[in-house]
Amino acid sequence: MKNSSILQTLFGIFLLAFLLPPATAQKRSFGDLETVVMTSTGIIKSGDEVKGYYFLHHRKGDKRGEMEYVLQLVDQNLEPVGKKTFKGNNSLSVTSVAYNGDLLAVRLVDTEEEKSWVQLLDSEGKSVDRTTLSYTIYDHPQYAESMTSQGYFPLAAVPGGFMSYSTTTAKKSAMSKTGYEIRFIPNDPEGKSWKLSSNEDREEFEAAGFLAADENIVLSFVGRRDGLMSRAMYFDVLAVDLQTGKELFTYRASEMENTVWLTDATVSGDRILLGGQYFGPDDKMIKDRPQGLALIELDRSGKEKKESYLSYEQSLGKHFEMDSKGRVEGIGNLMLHGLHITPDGSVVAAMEGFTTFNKLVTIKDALLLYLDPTMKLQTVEHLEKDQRTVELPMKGAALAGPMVLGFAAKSIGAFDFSYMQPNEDVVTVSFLNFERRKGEKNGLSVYTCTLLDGAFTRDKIRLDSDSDRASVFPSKDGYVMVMEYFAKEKRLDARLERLRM
Amino acid sequence: MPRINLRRLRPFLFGHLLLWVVAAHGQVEFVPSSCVPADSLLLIRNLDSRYQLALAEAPVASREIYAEALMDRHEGLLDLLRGEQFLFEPGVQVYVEAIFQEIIRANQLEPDPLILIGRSPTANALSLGNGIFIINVGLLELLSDRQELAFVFAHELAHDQLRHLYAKLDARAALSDQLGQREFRRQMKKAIRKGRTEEVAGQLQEIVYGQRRHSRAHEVEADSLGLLFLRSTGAPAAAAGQTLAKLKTDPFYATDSIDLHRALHVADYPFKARWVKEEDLLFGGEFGEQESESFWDHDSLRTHPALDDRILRVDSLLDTGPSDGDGQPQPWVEWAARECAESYLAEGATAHALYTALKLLQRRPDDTYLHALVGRSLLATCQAIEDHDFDRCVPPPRYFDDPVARQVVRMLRQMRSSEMLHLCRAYLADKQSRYPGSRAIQTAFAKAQEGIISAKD
Repeated sequence: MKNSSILQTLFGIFLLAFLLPPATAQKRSFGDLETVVMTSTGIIKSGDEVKGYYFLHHRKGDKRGEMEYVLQLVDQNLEPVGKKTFKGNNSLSVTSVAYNGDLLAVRLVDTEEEKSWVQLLDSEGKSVDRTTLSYTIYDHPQYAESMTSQGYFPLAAVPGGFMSYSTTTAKKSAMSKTGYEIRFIPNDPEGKSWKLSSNEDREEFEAAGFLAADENIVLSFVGRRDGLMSRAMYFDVLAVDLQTGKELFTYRASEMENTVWLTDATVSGDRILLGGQYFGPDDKMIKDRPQGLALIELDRSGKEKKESYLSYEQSLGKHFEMDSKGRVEGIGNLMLHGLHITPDGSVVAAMEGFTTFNKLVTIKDALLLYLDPTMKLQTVEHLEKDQRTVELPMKGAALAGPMVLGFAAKSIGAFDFSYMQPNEDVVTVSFLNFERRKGEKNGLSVYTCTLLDGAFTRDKIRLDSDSDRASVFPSKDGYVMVMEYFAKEKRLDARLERLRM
Repeated sequence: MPRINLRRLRPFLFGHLLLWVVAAHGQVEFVPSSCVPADSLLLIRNLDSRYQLALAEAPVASREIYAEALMDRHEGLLDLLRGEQFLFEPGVQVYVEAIFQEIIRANQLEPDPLILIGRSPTANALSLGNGIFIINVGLLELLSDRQELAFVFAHELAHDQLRHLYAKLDARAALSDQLGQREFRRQMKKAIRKGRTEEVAGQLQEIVYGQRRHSRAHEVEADSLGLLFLRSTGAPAAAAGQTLAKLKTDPFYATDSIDLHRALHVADYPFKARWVKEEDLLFGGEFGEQESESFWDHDSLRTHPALDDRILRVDSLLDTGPSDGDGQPQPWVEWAARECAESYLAEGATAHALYTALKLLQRRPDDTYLHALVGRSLLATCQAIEDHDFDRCVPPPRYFDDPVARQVVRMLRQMRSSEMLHLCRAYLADKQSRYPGSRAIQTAFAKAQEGIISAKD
């Protein structure tokens, strides 16, 4: 991002904005990183549930230019499950892995050969099927990693198969018009697969992502924008019959009085619940501040049954001082990172405050909201953490407004937010904060807030101050997965930390 | 070491046993034994004189290696003493020493044994040379027959008589000479330089295997001599095979299954099936290729021969068939079981402590000390979660083979900390109302009511 222009950055933000879905913690050590290269790591999900983690590493193969890749799987307890070894060139990486109880879907990208595909593997590691995808610049691992770190997964496990989401472009340039490619890949290679793509004749830039699914229906959000720099952005929900690929309905959130940026959905019996942030009638997403949270209930035919809203000004105003621009005193502007709708219609939202000055973005405290099914604010949790200022590396950033700068900061991973993980009846939100410590070396700490029975419980884990890099991953109920890299020892440690809740 | 006067201790010994009889009827609660000797100075002097004597006997050629090893032993023992890793229960001490003395007298041996009762729940005994022996409390729990203990002690005395510690030090000195030789080092460096790392690894592997072979040979010798020592006491030699067979079983596991739901269900806080629900694992826990074989051969790394081989070898030396022993029950089994549980808890192994308490409650459902131990284990686990020390206290889900032990681990891993504290309080409250006179339950309940100590609040 160092040499990219504001144009490119905004484009990145644009896509990020489309692809931001609901962001919806034994020990394993990899000590032989002198001989192998850790290419990619990530979580394996089945629905919302974390089923394990994958580690892809490679070393030189026997033949010249050939690499030997090892995809190692560990379960939710970090216990080794097994591995799959395969050959490839130097430019192979795994961008997403999903598990649906029967098969493992691995999305691979070969940047040199410009290929992208989904490989289905059975319990013996044997290939069941291979689906070739349209390769674009957005398949590049760096971009994919940025997306998954924001909670967007290009693969989702659904009953009987997997959903795959790709961003396509007409030309190789990152500036060319984008479209979406939604595929259903069934477990059975002989089964019915289907694909939905953006209309070739469309005028707008488009992108899509997974929202929710059950045995019969899959919901995806489709984002549209007139041009790369257009301020007009729309989000619709596309409902498709999972078995046949037939479009059932499109919910035009874009045609509502208040523009709603839908980021989460849940299918619960006859109800479809959609949630996101709403904007004023004349406001633009990304540029303007959102007014609050919205919850929309549809029936399975797409007919709207109920709309509920929570205004930030009216609700948060009871707990904090707020200025006329909607900023919260001491916290600043609010950036929504994660939204989760429970089957009963309760909503959990995780946001972080930030202020801007010129090209500088200061990341402040976090706020967590818990709303009952009537959208009444039940609990507000103010999580205090050390503030940190980052300078945006984009040219011309100083000219942009605070929300745009906030999204730019989000696109480079400047916020402390790590993830929001729903598990059965709890939701865990995690932040990775750099702490200034008195009388000792500064270091990273993991802050977690777990919502159980309507109340948040906090926890804090101090990380090893000798680690050079650290990241936090969602985990099973009551845990957080912490990964630390020690450059001197060339060692990667992954461990589960138990949370107080 | 001054001998303990058995006559003087007899009233105490019988007094303690009497307490146990009463305890068995639920009237007197178990109180953990002291970890501090009655006369620390006397014990330290004894250890010090044995250390000085051993140093003086060290051969000139290997003095450095001897000095280092003896210093390690001496300081290690003092550390264990300071760390309260020994139990000083006069009754047990008298009992164990009496068995040792019987073997010593019957075989006209000369050692003046210094016997320490280790707090470790591992069923083991150690001969540290110079007449120093450690008998783990876990061994006293496992071996319920006096003759079985006698064989283990005879085996350890054999190690001492055969000077196995010194044989080990001599072997170490020889190895040190070999590794220090210029030619050997030159060859190794050359092989590494030429990329023949597997060859170097193979040679070093062979050295380690050689040491372990040496160690296994010592065990076989100690079994044979130990058997002779045991025979001289007039004890049935069949106790040897019987003892080895018992050591083969893991004493940690219960013979009866434990119904966790029944054991922990309290009317005020019913047991939740979710706590023990089997986890649905990725591909059932097995996918694709499994981990490649280890560089080390497990059998070649053993310091002891496989117990099956030892049993066969000992049986071949016996002229009698298997027997059930002479029927002299070892009176310290129950005490040892409780001390093991205390030891687990003291070391933070809360899952082990909870499992042990539940296991013992199967035999003694009205033991108030054990009920208190259940509550204390749950509370200690909550504290471990708070301190982010949980993984040290509760082993990984697949650590145990025993299904019940696995279930206990699973429960502690799946129960939320708030639920654990709730269960702990409800369980202790329930037991307090049932056993109002129990001091152990009262104390545990009061601590549970105080809750966990949060460093973060």
